Amino acid sequence: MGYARFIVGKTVSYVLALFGAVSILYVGIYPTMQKVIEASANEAASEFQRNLVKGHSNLTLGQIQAAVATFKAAYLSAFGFNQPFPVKFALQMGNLFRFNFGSAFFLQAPNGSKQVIALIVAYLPNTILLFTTGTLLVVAAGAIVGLLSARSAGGKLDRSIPMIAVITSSVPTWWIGFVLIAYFAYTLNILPSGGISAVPPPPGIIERFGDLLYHMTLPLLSFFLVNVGGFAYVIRSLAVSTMGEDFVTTARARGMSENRVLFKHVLRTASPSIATQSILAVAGSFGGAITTEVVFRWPGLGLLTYTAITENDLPVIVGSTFILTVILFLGLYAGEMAYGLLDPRIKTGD
Amino acid sequence: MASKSSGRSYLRELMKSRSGVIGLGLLIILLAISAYVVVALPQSEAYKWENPAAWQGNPVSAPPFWVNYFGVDAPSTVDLPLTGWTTSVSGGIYTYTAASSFVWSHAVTPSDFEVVPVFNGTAYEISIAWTKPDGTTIDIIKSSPVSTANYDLTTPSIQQSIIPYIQSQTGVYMNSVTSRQQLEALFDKGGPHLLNNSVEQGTYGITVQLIAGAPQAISSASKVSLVGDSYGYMGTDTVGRPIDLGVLAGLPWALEIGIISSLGAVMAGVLWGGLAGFFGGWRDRLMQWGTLVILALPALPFLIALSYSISLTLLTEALIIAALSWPFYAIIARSVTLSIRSQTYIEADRAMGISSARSFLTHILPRLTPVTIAYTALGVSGGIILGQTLAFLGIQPGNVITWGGILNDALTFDASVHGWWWWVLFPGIMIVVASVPFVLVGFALDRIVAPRVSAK
Amino acid sequence: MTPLLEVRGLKIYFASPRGDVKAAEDVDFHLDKGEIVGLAGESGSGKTTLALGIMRLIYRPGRIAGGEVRFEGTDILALPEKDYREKYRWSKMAMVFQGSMNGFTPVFTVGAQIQEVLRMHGREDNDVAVRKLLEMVDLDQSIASRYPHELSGGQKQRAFIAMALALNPELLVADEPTTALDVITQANIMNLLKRLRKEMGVSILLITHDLALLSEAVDRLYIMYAGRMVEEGPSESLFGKPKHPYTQGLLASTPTLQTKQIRGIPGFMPDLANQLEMCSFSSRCPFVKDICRTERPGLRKADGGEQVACWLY
Repeated sequence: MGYARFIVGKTVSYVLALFGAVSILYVGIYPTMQKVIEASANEAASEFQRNLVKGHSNLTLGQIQAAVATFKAAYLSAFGFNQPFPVKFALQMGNLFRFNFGSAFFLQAPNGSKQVIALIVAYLPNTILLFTTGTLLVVAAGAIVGLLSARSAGGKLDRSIPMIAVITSSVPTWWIGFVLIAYFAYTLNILPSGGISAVPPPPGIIERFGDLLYHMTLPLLSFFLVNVGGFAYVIRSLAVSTMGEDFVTTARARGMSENRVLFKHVLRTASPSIATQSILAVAGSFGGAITTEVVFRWPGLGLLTYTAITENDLPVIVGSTFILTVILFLGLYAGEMAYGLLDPRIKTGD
Repeated sequence: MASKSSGRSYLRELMKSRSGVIGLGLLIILLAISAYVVVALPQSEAYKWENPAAWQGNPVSAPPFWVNYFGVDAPSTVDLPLTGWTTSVSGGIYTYTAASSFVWSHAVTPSDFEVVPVFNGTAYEISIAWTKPDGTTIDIIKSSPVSTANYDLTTPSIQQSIIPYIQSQTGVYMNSVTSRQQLEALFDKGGPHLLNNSVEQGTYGITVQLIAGAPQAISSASKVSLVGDSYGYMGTDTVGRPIDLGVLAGLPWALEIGIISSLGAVMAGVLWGGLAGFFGGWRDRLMQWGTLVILALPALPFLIALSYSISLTLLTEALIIAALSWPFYAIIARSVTLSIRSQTYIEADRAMGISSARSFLTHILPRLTPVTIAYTALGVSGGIILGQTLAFLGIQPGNVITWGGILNDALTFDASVHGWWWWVLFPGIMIVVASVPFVLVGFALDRIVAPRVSAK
Repeated sequence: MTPLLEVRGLKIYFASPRGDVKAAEDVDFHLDKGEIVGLAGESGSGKTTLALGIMRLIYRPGRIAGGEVRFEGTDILALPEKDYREKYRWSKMAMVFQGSMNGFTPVFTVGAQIQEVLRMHGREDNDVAVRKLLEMVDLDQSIASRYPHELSGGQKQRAFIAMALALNPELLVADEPTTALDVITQANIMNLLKRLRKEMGVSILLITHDLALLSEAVDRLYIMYAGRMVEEGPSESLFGKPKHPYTQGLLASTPTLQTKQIRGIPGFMPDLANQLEMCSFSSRCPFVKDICRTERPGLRKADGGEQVACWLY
C-alpha cells in the first residue's frame, strides 16, 4: 500500500512541477509568444480574406474588410489576446500543452506541412536515436569503468579517473566535434563530415543501416569522449560510498569473493542511484543536442531549433523549447520512478 | 573542529594536494592575464573586431608564424618603408620618388601586394617600377584620384598594368587576372610559362613615384606591403583578424560569466538547500518541490528562448545562468545539512530556546561554507562553457569578443573544410584551459571537505 | 588438547601519516572447544580490530604485521585467501557484528541472503533449511521474505545469528552483539547464545565493553587495554578479585544499585602510534611505580588461575 501512495504522491508532485516549470517558461517567452500568435492571426486572416473573395464576388471592399476584422478579432480572442490575464494564461498554456504551436514562419517539414508540431515530429526521432544511443554507450562504459575503479580504490585506474573526468568535462561537445570532423573527415577522409545519410541514400536496408552507423560514428564519438569520464566518476563515487557501508564488511565475512560482493551486493544496492543517474543523463543530453547537431548537421530537433534561431522562426523556437522541457521532465519523472522501483526500502512503504 | 575550518588551514591543505597546487597556479596565471587584458586592451578593441576594415593589411586565413619552423613555407608580412622621398618640380607638376629593395628567399609568393601611400592631399598618379632579380622591370600604374589608402591587387588599374606584362611573356592577352595570377606574374621566373613557373628568389627592387598638381607632404609611414601568409601566434581568420588577439580579448568576459554565474548559483542554491534541510517538514517538501520546478527547465533551450525576450548583458546573462543552475547545489546542500542536523546540538539549541535563525547561522551555515567554496570553483567551469556555448549559437551581449563567437565564424566560413585548423583549435583550447584550473581547485577542495562532512 | 582457536603474538597495525598505529600488539589468547570466552575493554582498546583480524577482514590501511592465528592447529594467516575463504570463513568461524550495524544487504530479503550463504558453500538452500535456521533463533518463517529494514533491531540481530550459524561453524565471534538494543532484547540474545553453545556445541568469543553482560555469560575472559591483553582469568576470580588496576577501575566504574557515586578512571588512553617502552596504563594507574615507567610488563601467571600484565604481581 505504501508503494501506491508513493507513486501517486510523486506523480502529483511532478505534474505540478511541470506546470510550474512551463509557467516560468511561459513568462520568459511571453513577448515572443504574443508575436507568434499575432503573426498566426494575420496569416489566418489573409487566408479568410482570400476565401471570402473567391466565394463571394459581390461583396464591397468595406464589407470584406469588416468581415476580416471581425474574424481576426475573434481569432485573437480565442488565443487569449485582449482578454484578462488569467484567461489569456489559461488559453495559451492550454495550447502549449496540446502541442498546438501554430505554423512556422519560414520552415517546412519534409512532408510539406508548415505546422510546427509536424516539424518537431519529423525531426525529433533523429535526436532520440542519436542521443539515446550515445547515452547508452556512456552509461555502459562509465558504469563498468566506475565499478572497476571503485574495486581497486586508490589504484592506478582509480586515480586516473578524476583527472580524465576533469579534463574531458571541461571540453564542449561541439568543439570536440569540430576537431574530430576536421581530422577524420577532412584530413583523413575516412568518416563523413556530417548529415545522417549519404546523398542519395543507398538502396537496401542493410546498406542504409550501415550508412546510418557510418554517419553516427563521429557524433557518438564526440559525445562519448566528453561524457564518459564524468559519468564513470559519478558511478565510482556512488560505488565507493556504498562500499563503505556495514553490509559490505559482513558480506566479505560471509565468505563472498570480492567479485560477488561488488557485482552482486554493491551493484544491486547502488542500482537505484545508478538507474536514476542514467535516466537523467539521457534526459539531460537532449538539452545539449542543439550544438552537437549544428556541428554535425544532424537533422534533429537541435538543428531545427538552430535553423529557427538563424531564421528568426519564432513559432518553432517556442514549440521546440516546450518539447525539450517536456522531455527533460519525463526523464526526471522516470528517474524518480526507477529509484522507487529498485529500492525495496521504498517499495515496502518505508 | 570549528577552528579547523579557517580559510588558512584549507589553503594549506589545498597546497598539499598536487592537483590543487597546479589548479591554483593556473588560476593565478589566468587571472593575471585577464587583468592585463582588461587594463591594456581598451574597449575600442571590441568595436574594432566587428569592423573588417581595421584588419586590412593582415593576411587572411593565415596560419601562425611558427609553422615555418615545422617545414611549412609561410612567409610573414614584409613591410617596405618608403622614406627618403626626393622631390622634383617642373611646370606645376610635383614628382615625388622613393625607392626600396628586398630579398625574397621563399618558394611561395606573398598572399597579397599592397601600396600604402600616406599623405594629406590627392595626386594624379602613383606608379611603381617593379624590378625582378633577372633585371626585368614591370610598370604598375594607378591613375587619379590617389589619396591615402591601401591599394592592393584588387584595384582595377593595378590589374590593368600587370596584364600587358603577362602578355609580353606568355603571348596571351587576359581580360582579367586574379590576385594569385598577379602575384605569380610579379614573382615567378619570366618566360612563356610565367604563371606556372616557380618563384624566383633574389633581390627585387621597387621605385615608387607620386605625381601631383600641388605640393604634398608625404609621410614616411608610406610603405609597400608584401602581405605574408602567416601571422601572429594563432593565425588569422577570413577577414584578417588575428586569432591570438581574439583569444586574449575573450578571456575576461569568459571568466566573468563563469565566476559571477557560479557565485550566484552556489550562494542561492546552498542557502535554499540549507534552509530546506534545516526546516524539515512541510517547508522542506515545498522547497524541494521548488527545486524540482527549476530543475525541469532545460538550461540551453530556455536561455535561447529567453534571449528573444530580453536583451543580454554580462550581468543579465550571468544571473539567468545562475537562476537555472542553483538546484544542483541546493540538493547537495540539503543532504549535507541533513547529515549535520543528525548531530544533536540543534535539538539542544531548541531546548535552550535559541531561535531557529540563530541556530541556522551558527551551526549550519559555517559548516556549509567549505562545500560552498568547493562547488563554486567547480561551477565556474560550467558557467564558462555555457556562456561560450551560447556565444557559439550567436547568443551573446553585443560588442563583446567571445571564443564561442570566433568558433561560430569558423563554422560559418567552413574552417574545417579549408583546413584552417588554427581558427578551430585555439579558441576551443582556451575554453578548456580556462575551465580546467577551476575544476582542479574545486576537486581538490571537495576531497578536503568531503571526509569532514561525513565524519562518523 | 589443542585449543580451538589459538592466537600468538598477533600484531595489527594501521598505516597513518604519523606512523603505524598499533591497534593490537603482541596479543596472545586462546579459546577451547565449547567455551564461551569474553573479551572486554573500552572503546578504542582494539577488541573489534582483533575480532576482524581473526577473521582476516583487515583491509588497507590496516594490516596484520605479525603473529599466528591457529584454528584447530592450522595457522590460518598463512593460507592463501581463496583457501581461507572457501574452507574457513563462515563455515568454520563466523562473526556476528554490532547490534546497531546494517549486517544485511538492504536490497535483498533476509531469507534470500541466508540461502545465498548456504548455496555458496554447497549446502541445501531450500526454504526448509532456512526455516530450520530461523526456528533455531526463535524467529518465525515469515521473516525470510522480509527486507532488513522491515525488521526490529532484535529481529535483525537474531536473523543475522541464524545466518552466521547456517554453515554450522565451530567458532562464533560475537562483537558487541547487543549494543544499541534494549535490555529485554539484550537478555534474549544472551540467552540465545548460551543455548546455542549448549545445543549446537558452538564455541563463542564474546566481545563487549559491557562487563555486566560478560559476568553472567562467560567462563573465562580477557581484559584488553590500548591494544594489549592486560589480564585474563576465569570469570569468578576475575570478577571477584580483579588484579590489574585497570580491571579494578573498570569494575569500580560499573554502577550497581548501591552505587552512590560513579567513579571513572582519570586520564586518557595513550597514543597508539607512539608507544614507548613502559606500561601503557602507567599514566593513569593509582599504584604506579618507577619500574612501570621504564619497562613494560608481560602477561604472567598469578593466583586464581589468572594471568596479569602488571608489575604489582
